[in-house]
Amino acid sequence: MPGKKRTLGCLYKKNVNGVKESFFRLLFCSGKGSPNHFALHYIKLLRQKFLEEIKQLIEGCINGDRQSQNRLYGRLAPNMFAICLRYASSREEAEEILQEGFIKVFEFIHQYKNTGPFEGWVRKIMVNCSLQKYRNKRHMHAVADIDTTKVEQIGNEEILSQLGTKELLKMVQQLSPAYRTVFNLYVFEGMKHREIAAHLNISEGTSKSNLSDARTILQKAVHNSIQSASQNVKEI
Amino acid sequence: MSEDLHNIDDLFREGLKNNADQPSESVWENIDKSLDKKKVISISKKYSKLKWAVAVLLLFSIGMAMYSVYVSRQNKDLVRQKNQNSIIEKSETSLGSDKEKTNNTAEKKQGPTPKDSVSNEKQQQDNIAASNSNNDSLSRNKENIKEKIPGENNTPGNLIVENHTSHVRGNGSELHKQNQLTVKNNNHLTTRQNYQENDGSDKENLSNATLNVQKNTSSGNDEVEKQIEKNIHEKETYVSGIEINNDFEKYFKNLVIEPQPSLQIFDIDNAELQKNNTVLKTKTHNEKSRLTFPLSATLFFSPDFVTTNLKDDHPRFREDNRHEIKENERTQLSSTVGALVSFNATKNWILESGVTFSKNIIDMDPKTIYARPDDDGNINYRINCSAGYSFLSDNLNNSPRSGDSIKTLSSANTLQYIGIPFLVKYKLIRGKLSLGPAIGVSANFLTKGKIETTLPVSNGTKSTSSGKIEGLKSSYFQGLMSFGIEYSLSKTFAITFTPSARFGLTSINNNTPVKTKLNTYGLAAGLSFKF
Repeated sequence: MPGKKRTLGCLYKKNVNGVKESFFRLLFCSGKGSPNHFALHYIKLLRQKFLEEIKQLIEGCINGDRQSQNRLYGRLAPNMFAICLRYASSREEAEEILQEGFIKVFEFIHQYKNTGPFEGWVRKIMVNCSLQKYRNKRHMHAVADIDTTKVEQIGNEEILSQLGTKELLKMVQQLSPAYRTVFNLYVFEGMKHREIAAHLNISEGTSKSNLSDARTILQKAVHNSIQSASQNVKEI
Repeated sequence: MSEDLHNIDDLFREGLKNNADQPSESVWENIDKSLDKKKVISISKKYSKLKWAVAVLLLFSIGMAMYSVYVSRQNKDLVRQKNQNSIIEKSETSLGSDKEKTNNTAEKKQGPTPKDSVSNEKQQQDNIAASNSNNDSLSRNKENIKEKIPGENNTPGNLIVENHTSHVRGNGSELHKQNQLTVKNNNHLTTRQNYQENDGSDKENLSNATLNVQKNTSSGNDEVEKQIEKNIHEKETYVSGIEINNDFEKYFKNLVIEPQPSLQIFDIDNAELQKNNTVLKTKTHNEKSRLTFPLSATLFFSPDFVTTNLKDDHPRFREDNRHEIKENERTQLSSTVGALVSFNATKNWILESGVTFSKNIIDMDPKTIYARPDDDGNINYRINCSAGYSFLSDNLNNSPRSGDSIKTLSSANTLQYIGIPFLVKYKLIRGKLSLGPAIGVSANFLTKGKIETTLPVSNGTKSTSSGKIEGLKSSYFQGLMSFGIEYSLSKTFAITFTPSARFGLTSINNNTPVKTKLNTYGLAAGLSFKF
């Protein structure tokens, strides 16, 4: 039972207003089942509540209610900003993309057809805005000098323990726009080279080449970062 | 090395998967401001229909105002003409009374019968001929003549003025009195002049008065008598040619208000006056009936020839080449039907408006289309045309990948518009034929935009239709030029032939690979009704 209490306690901490009643009803009225059963039901309830709230917010946004727009922005902005940061070279540029993206979201929100998750729809708009930004800045392609030195293989868990999210993000941002965009589309959006080529109006070969170069640069950046971190530890 | 690279992918995917960061507050503030602007724009869009309604109402109001002004002006003309008629009638009455007075005086002196008057005339001729040297009374009469006839150059010399007074027609009840002025001179020349007042500014003739001036060298009584009878006869035939015009009143003011008992200049027949009045009334009636047709409606059909003017807008893919799009298209059918209402603003200037319905079908040759991402990121086959592009929702391949291609067998793009033209026309009327060059603008509103495509499948062909053409605007404007030829079949019906040219002022689409302007050339045939 301590496990059950812990699980419920964790869930209760994540509780949101309005779900408490359902939570306690579920807790005291069901009477049967394992803690996982309660957890799954509770998560389901939370998700339903979240979807209902999003649905209400969408309706409010369609009607032009500014409060609904603000609340929807507040719910989605952190995750969307993280996406924009990956496609941008700086925080300011990411904020620009986020701004443009949310303006489009509110402008075309009446076209959302509830066929998929709303967050996925917003994410697509953010990615499209990022690509549009990239297309507009296409003439500013940077030429990267790639060092082909072989890098030692280290486990991801070990690297992640040594490198923070911000450092990884900074490495991505330091890639040239073409490499960064191809890398993002391939790794995070799951696109194939043919799709990337169509989106960016480049050949598949260019897409593959850009991805390879991006990987090499990132690998080297990770290696350098780990090395400098280990040197710091030794000095201490 | 390859494993290392994939390892890098996983490293970043896992490391940044749950990343979340709070943007600065300025982002929402900027979004808030932008939404305010968009709201203003959306409000203006919301009221765009209202604007159109206001514009139509304004045009209608202007038309009604012009119509009212036109009608009131015509009414004034009619009232003036009626007044003139009444003045003529009054003048006729007063003239009749003057004549009666004159005749009474003459009757006292000369007796009532023509024979007596002729004998009196002979007597007077004899007396006057005998006393040629005594010209006092004659000179007075001569001065009177000169006063009445400023343009008349009477020959100086030995003038004899004869007052021929009454002539009774034997119809029993109706008494026609005629006055004849005869001026005799020593020259053997007989002339009859139709007196016209010509003061330079007033061009309208005063031919309603006839002055018979007779210059006669003959001194014999028989000859004089014959001449008098001849004059009377000529006068009777000549009076039938009298025309009474609008300045009749003025003329009478100048010439008749102070009648000379011994000298009557005018030969006016009451019957002729009545006849002329009838003619005037008939004319007025005709004018009135003509003036009640300020509006006319025309129903027409026009087979059109459509050309497209393409410019690069936002080409993204290789199939977005405008030359390729233009060469791939053929205009199959285009026609316009409509109803126009014409308003005669003035005699020659006409305002014309109405409703037209036009249909354009453009065929596309077989071509390769590619799967492209739409605005939502979904990949579908995209077909391009000059009007815009469309995604084939009814795909043969359920999940095409970006860049996949298929070959279409045939495609057709259908566009239907309702147009509201506004034309200014200048009309030249030549008998039953009238010609009217016109210029104007037309607002066209999209009612239907469709792309039909036939694709090959394993068991034959399959047709798909897309009713949504991306980028196609809901309205566009055209400039109009036409030259109308109208032939009147009757007072209310006319047939019209109007070659016309419509040039695209604005493009029919936006945010598409190519911007397209439609130019249309047509020959409209129609039937016109006058209200």
